[in-house]
Amino acid sequence: MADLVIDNIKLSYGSVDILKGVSMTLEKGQIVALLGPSGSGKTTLLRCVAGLEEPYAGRIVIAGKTLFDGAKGINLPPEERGLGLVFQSYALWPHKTVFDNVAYPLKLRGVSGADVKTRVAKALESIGIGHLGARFPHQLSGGQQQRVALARALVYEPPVILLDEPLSNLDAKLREEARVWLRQLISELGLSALCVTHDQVEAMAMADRILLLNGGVVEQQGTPEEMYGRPATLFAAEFMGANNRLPGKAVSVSGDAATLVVGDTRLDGLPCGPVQEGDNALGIVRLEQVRVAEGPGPNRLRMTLTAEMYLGERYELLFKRDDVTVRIFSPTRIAGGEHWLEFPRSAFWVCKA
Amino acid sequence: MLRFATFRFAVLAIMASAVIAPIGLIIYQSFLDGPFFTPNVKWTLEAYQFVIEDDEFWDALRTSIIVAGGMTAIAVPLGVILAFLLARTDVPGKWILEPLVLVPIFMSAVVLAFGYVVALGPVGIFSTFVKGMIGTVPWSIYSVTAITIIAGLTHVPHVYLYTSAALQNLGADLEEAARTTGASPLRVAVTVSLPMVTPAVLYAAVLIFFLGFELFGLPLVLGDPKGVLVLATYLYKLTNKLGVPSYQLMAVVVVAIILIAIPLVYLQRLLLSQSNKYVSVRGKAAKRAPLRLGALRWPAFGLIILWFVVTVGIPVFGILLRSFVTTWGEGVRLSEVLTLSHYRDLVDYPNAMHAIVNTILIGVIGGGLAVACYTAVSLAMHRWRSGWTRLADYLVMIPRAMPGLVAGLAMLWLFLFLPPLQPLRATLFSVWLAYTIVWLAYGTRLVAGTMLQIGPELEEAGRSVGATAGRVARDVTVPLARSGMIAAWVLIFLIFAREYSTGIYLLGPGTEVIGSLMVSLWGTGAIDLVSALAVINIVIISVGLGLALRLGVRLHG
Ligand SMILES: Nc1ncnc2c1ncn2[C@@H]1O[C@H](COP(=O)(O)OP(=O)(O)O)[C@@H](O)[C@H]1O
Ligand SMILES: [Mg+2]
Repeated sequence: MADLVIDNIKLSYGSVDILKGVSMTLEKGQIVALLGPSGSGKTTLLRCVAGLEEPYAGRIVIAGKTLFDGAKGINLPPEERGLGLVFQSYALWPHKTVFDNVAYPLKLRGVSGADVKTRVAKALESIGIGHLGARFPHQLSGGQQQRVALARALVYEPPVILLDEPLSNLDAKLREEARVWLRQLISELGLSALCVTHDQVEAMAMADRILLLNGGVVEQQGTPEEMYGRPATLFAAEFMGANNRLPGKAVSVSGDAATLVVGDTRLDGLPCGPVQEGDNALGIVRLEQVRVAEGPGPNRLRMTLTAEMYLGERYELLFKRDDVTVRIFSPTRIAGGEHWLEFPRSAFWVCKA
Repeated sequence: MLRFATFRFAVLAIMASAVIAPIGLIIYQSFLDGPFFTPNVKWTLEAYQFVIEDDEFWDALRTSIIVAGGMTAIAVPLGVILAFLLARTDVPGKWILEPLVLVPIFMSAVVLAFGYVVALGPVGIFSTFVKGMIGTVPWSIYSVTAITIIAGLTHVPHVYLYTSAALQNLGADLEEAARTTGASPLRVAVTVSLPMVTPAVLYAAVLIFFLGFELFGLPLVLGDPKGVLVLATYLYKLTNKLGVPSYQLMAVVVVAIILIAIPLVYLQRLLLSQSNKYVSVRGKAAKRAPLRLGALRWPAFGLIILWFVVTVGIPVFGILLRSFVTTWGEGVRLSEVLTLSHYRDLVDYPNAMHAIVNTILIGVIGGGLAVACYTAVSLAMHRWRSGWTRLADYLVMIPRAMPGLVAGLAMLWLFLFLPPLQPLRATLFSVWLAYTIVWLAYGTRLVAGTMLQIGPELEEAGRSVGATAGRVARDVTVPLARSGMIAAWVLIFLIFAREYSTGIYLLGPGTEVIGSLMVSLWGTGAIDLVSALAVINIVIISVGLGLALRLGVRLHG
């Protein structure tokens, strides 16, 4: 059974529509990432689930219990929803020690003093900060604060935990470690989690499913592989990875094939979004999908190497022809001059410009 | 368990009745032909007619406008200059000047007025000295001009406060950008900084003009002897005008004062929200190098000290000296008149001793209770997304439009009018309630301000882990606002200890406070006792100020 169902949630601030009918489900034991650019409404949606914002329409149900129903006028206050929420800023109470921060939810639930001690100790222990109980939040590093915030949200064993950009306040190095650790922790504890992020790599690494938001609507949802390998719209295609854009004209579009004409070359690919014959179109292809071919052939374009950058584990090469620029990855250097580049049909998407 | 929404509406209802009842009673009284509690009173407009036809009322109104306008013209430029000197230049001794500049705010206006009389009056301590040298006293303390100048000087800190706050919020980058394009420091001050703080200065100007209409202590002491009346003293004098208690006339004057004040208060609100907008969206406040004054450093320092000496030094020195001498006049030798007898008399005068004890009680305990009330109001309105907060905003504003004298009168009537309150009339409770209502807007802003500084997510985190709104208020909001509440307590203590006008109509056995007792004693000519009481008032305030500085309380909330 689905742990969390969000059904057609709509929210506005004054006359500005922020969420324009968002729906999704979260299955038990899953991690769903809410992905989208800044300002797309991710935090707002999370806060609707937590009960901190009030939508004007829609439904939110957790484990069969209705938290919000616009039509029936149901709107449970946050404290009656029993969810765990980790804030982007961590929101640790500065006047309470780490122990007291984590113990507070238990005290609210009338847990007896001795039990509070053991459960808090266990929660801190399981998160690797058992020795920090007596400290105050300002005496902790960013990573430690994040763990305390997590412990506080987990200690009362909520059915669903909501995380708002949990890694964004950590520095780059720490972030990658924390990502692995968080993913592991959530699956070990068998939690269901809804996790907001604006970083598609983070979303793909952590989540079982991704919900891509854009301007308050769901652009696409699916597994990370689907999202990366078969984007449904130009926006999804561009947001999910590092891409080349080839401007041209769409010709011979059918259900599962489309061709882009660039100059005098025809490039076959897959249609992406509502593209029609004769449209001005963009060919989108991931950097790592383009390869240098031996010579001419189908789906190949002759281009001139104009720059190369050394990235450590590989090279990034820049090719030009007229107003078309293409970047590719290559394990080795190649000679200057003209080359044939191949755009694999299954990874080349033709989108309406 | 009390629902938080219930608490919110309960606080709103209590506040509404505390604010509306007195003002409603006054408006009601203004349409009657006698005191509201006498049998057979009838509705009439006679009181309005009487006041409108009274030349003295129009004279008082005119004088009020002259004084308010004049003091604004004096206080605004001086305040702006002081703010620029202290916020932007390398004037020496800033650490001592900055708190010093604020001192006049916490001085009782009557204490200063008494001080001016004993220092610069016809037979004042400095006047006789000058007369001994040049044969005449080249000034007159009992005049509209003197009232205007003194009021202007004592209100400089208000302008200073708002201007320097605005200057501090102004991003250094804006001024540095002007410097890099080739503008001299003075040019930057005049063409960049000044225009950007104009909204704040404008706000302060309206505030000063408004305070000018409320002026009571200064004109009472310095205007009355020559028959110069302003609105507030006209109201005060009405009591005796007809020989009988002319409640309806007083009510009409109060209505007039409030009608003048409301648009001014409203204008202030408008300007304040505008000036906030103006400043907050701009650059970062960073450390900046102060403007070098060069040879002007010490003259600038001298200017500030001169202002302080004239505004506070002279009257305080005067009253201090006067409290230790038996008499003063021409040809008196200090060594022959020195005495402690005024203080001894004070000890033997039970009313004075009550007044001292009551002032401390109402400052410390009453101040604490008032802060508790302001906290309740702030909590009730805190992050309440509802149209009701607008109502609360307006309710808080109403007492702002009532000068203390008026609020005290309204409170007196209320305690006479409502039977359950009657037994409390002659207790300190009535004074406390009047004080608390008069300072509602100020106190609530102090406390609400600290609460707004708490990140909303700290409270939301409480809700999300299962705490009700009430629990979050108790476990998160209040503990985090605690230092701000203590600061508010100190500031309210200072203000309550300084108050004199609010307690005047409530003055009676059991309700004496230093401020109102001084005004009453001054009327009987008991200058010896008054000067000793004034010194004690200054001592109490100084202790409070010392405590505030010790605790690091920002004196401007
Ligand atoms: N309190 C508010 N009032 C008005 N608009 C808001 C408020 N909070 C957020 N918004 C707007 O709602 C949109 C979505 O914000 P948010 O959910 O925070 O985006 P995200 O978390 O995806 O970056 C943004 O355009 C933002 O400007
Ligand atoms: Mg966000």
